[in-house]
Amino acid sequence: MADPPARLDRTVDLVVVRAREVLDPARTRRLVAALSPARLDVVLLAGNPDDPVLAACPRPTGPGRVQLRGPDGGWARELTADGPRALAVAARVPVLDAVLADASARGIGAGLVLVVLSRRGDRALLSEGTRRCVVVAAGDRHGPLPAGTARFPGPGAVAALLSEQLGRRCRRRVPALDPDPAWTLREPDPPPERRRVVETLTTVAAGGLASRGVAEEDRDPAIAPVLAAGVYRGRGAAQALRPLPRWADLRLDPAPGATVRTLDLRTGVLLREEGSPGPGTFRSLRVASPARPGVVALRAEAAAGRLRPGRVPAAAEHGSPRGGPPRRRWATTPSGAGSAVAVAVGQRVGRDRGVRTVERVGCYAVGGPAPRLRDALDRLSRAEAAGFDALLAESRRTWAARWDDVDLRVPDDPEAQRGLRFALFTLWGLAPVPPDAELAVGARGATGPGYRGHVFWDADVFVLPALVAVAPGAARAVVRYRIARLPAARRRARAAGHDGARFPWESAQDGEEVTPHRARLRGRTLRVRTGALEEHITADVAWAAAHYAAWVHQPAFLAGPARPLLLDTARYWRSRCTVDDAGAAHLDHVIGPDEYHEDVDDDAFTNGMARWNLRAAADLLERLDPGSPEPTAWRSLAGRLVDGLTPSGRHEQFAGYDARRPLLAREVAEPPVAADLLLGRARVGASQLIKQPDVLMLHHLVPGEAGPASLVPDVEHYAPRTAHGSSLSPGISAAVLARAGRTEEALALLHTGLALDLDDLTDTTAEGLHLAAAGASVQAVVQGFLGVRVERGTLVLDPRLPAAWPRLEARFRLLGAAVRIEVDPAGVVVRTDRPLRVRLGDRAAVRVVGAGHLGPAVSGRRA
Amino acid sequence: MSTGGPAGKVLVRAPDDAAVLAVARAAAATVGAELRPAATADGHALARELDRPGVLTVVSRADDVGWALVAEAGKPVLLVPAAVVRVAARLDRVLAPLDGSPAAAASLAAAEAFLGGELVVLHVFDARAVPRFWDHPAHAERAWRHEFRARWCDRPGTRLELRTGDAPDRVLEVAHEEAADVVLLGWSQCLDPGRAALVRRTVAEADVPVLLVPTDGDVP
Repeated sequence: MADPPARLDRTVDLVVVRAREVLDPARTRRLVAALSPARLDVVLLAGNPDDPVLAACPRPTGPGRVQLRGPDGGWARELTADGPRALAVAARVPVLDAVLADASARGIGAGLVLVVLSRRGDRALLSEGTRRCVVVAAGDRHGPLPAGTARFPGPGAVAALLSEQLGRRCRRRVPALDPDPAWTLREPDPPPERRRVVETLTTVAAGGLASRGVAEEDRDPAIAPVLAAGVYRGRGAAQALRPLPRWADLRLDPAPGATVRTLDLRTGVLLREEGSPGPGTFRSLRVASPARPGVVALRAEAAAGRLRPGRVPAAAEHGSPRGGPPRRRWATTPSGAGSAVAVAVGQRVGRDRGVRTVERVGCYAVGGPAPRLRDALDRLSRAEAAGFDALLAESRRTWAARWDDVDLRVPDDPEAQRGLRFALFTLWGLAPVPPDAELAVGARGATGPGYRGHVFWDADVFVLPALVAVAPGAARAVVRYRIARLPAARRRARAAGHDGARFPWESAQDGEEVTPHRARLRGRTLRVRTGALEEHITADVAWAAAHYAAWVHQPAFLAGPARPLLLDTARYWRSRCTVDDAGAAHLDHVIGPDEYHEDVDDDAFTNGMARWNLRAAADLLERLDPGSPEPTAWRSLAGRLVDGLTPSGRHEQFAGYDARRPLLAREVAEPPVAADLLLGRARVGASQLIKQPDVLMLHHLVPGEAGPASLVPDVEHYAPRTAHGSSLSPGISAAVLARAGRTEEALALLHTGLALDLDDLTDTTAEGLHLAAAGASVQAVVQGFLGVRVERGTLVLDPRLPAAWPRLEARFRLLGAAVRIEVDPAGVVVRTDRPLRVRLGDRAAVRVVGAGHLGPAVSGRRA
Repeated sequence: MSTGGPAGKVLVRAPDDAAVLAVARAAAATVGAELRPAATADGHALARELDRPGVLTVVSRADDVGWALVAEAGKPVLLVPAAVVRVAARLDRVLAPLDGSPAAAASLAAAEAFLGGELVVLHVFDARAVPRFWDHPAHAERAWRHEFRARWCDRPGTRLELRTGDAPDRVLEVAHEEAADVVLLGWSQCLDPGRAALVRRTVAEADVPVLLVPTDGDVP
């Protein structure tokens, strides 16, 4: 009986095979020549670089790469159109490990690599690192094989495998995804109650344009499938993110039964496939291009009678397409009071025997009052010309570079590892943004309609400090959003009879206050007073601008575009403070971050941030305008602003807090708990229970404004009183507790913060991801466990790791450099791609060029 | 296609009990069913009678026979509490407490025939079932409410009420506030000590009939 044809029924992106298996026969050589134009990489193994068989290797004529390597890993050549070029090889690195490392840099994971074993002894090529590779044994001469290895006997097996891969590429079959559990979020067919949560979790985003993981055939999704940061509709408090025309729309009849969604954090793609794979089963793969923000692409396949192209953008809702290029449809949103969006979508249908394929490429032009349809069409043309495979390869490369540059690695804690990567992935969805653009980061970003897309302090002090370490350009755009809304903030201050600028608690398109005035709780209608009283936002905005400038070491940004922001916020505080007969300055009638206590006087955080704002503005203006009288007045006022420091060395959260009824969080319920729901506003307000860090937030943002040696007493007092009833709370609490040396509690809180969306702890992840929780979790590691801060252009770090984390590696951007910090029991190593001044704890600063071994970390010490 | 005839049968146990008969008439009018006296007064036998095709419910006093019936019933049973003081002509205004579990939500589907009128869903936050996070009183409430409805009671015309405190207290309170004609409770038919606290209290103290809907899940 003849051997069955060798086939994988899946697509791979790189093939490793013995050169003699493919270069001897003329037919196979032709196949090898066809691989490169089809964007399939190949690594040919040969005993030595002078092996005559290699002379027969066709030079690559397309984007697919051809490498020649020794099976012992001792030599390597890249074959280019101009001939072979030597590649550096590391000593004692097995050849397949080297191949996988090289592929990984292009975003090709081990699960996308086909290794063909064809000689007795080839099994020795395999290692722990190759366990996710697709390994097959071809021909009849292989030796003993690892369990589960597919065997394809017969002389034509290798040719058949290559031929299959070429065919799948030429006929536009859906690519595969590397199912590495460390990098993927796998969501089996969710029950109805979790469906919207899964749609949120499987969002792909770039540049603030987010496509939720809505099923392609879902004609009427409950939540808008596409949203963009800063694109609102409506006026006044009704401003909300505008649902955008959708692009990933297919017709499937019958609709898929159970489907599994797999989000690959490493390459930014979402794969959706029916549970039981077969020749005609439905599969789709989509990507939001990080290399071409606004460009989105999808490829799908299913049995030919079942899959049909989807709708074009819904013209009736979003404008009328007339005329124009063929195979394209487009729509524009009405500009109204906000930004407009133009989207163009191209569609292409193909066939591979009984399988139909559909490819859709879309392009969104976002921003500005006029729809830039021509821009969208032009960019769509370029994206279509490149093709889906090129867009995917480009995206994989970009993501590979991102993860090489920015990552948080905790190899001993897989759960935290995945959560941290998901947090970073979420933040990356905001990037890149064009230079000089602004970025309105709503509480849920653009991953869902929650909070109507309103911008809170979440953007300034939770997201920005993490984002600036991930994508500094996007962080700059967050500050620009605030700068552009200074006129509205000035109007608000003026309307209240004050000088300077007061930022709204909730902000949208026009920068006016959009906080709702009413809410229902426990069957009663309540006044919402945060818009009127939660004034610390004004200093938070100024702090974010200064933090950005310090982190990237661009004092010119603070002296230039951000100058009016810093100065006008200080002017606001100057006119807002009252001074009593004894000369002490006060901020009365405010709400601090702890929203359980409303209308309080001298909230420690609000006063501390105002004090910082006044001093920072004074520093700036003294430098820029030495003759100005304002800095003296600001410094004087800052010095007199009540700080709440008690004789016991800790801060009283606000005037009269200590007289409230003592109550610990655990006496109510196991935190986190929404204590205000359980006990009611009045009872919570009359107690010492707090919603989230207030005094401790002061320690986190501006430790210099907190009393000397007050961190530990403040943590000891406020940590047990914190209900963590806000999603903002666990991550920042983790950061502060880590600084106080309570690393085990900090780690537990970090785990809560990381699970917030992954486990839908709020029951509202369906409405979008909590971006502040993602940012706070990153801060918990970088600013908390590692103790990273910037002081006058110097990187300062002071690692304090929990026992469960003996090793931590953090890669991020800081001071214009790509920085890597490795902490393990042997010590702290800093690597940087440009010279950097670094200080470890209290030790003297050193200049690090390349890599610096700084000695052991200071661990277990309490502040 | 409607044939114009009754949709099924409502059985009444002890039709000489005026309150029970009034509830049974209201139930029959609500679901468009024929009212028939039950053939037996034994709880176990009643449960078997209820299983017959076309029988939608049995209306019974909440006495020993009634409890024996509901413990075995495979369909909704209307219990008439001792405290019943008002019986509407139709049971159009239904109060359904849902605790956010699939089993509780399934009780709505199992009692579909009784949901032709106004449905008020009540969710009670207590120490066991309070959200962990409530970021913003307006946005969080809207999001939570929206998601709860989407998950558990996405029926047109449904109103969701949220309360905090002891669940039986709040159910009785809201039933009164809303002038509910009937309280619908899903339950797991387990009357072991410590179980079915909400069912026991509601049946003991409600002044309107209680529709007990057996569910497969573990409803407290």
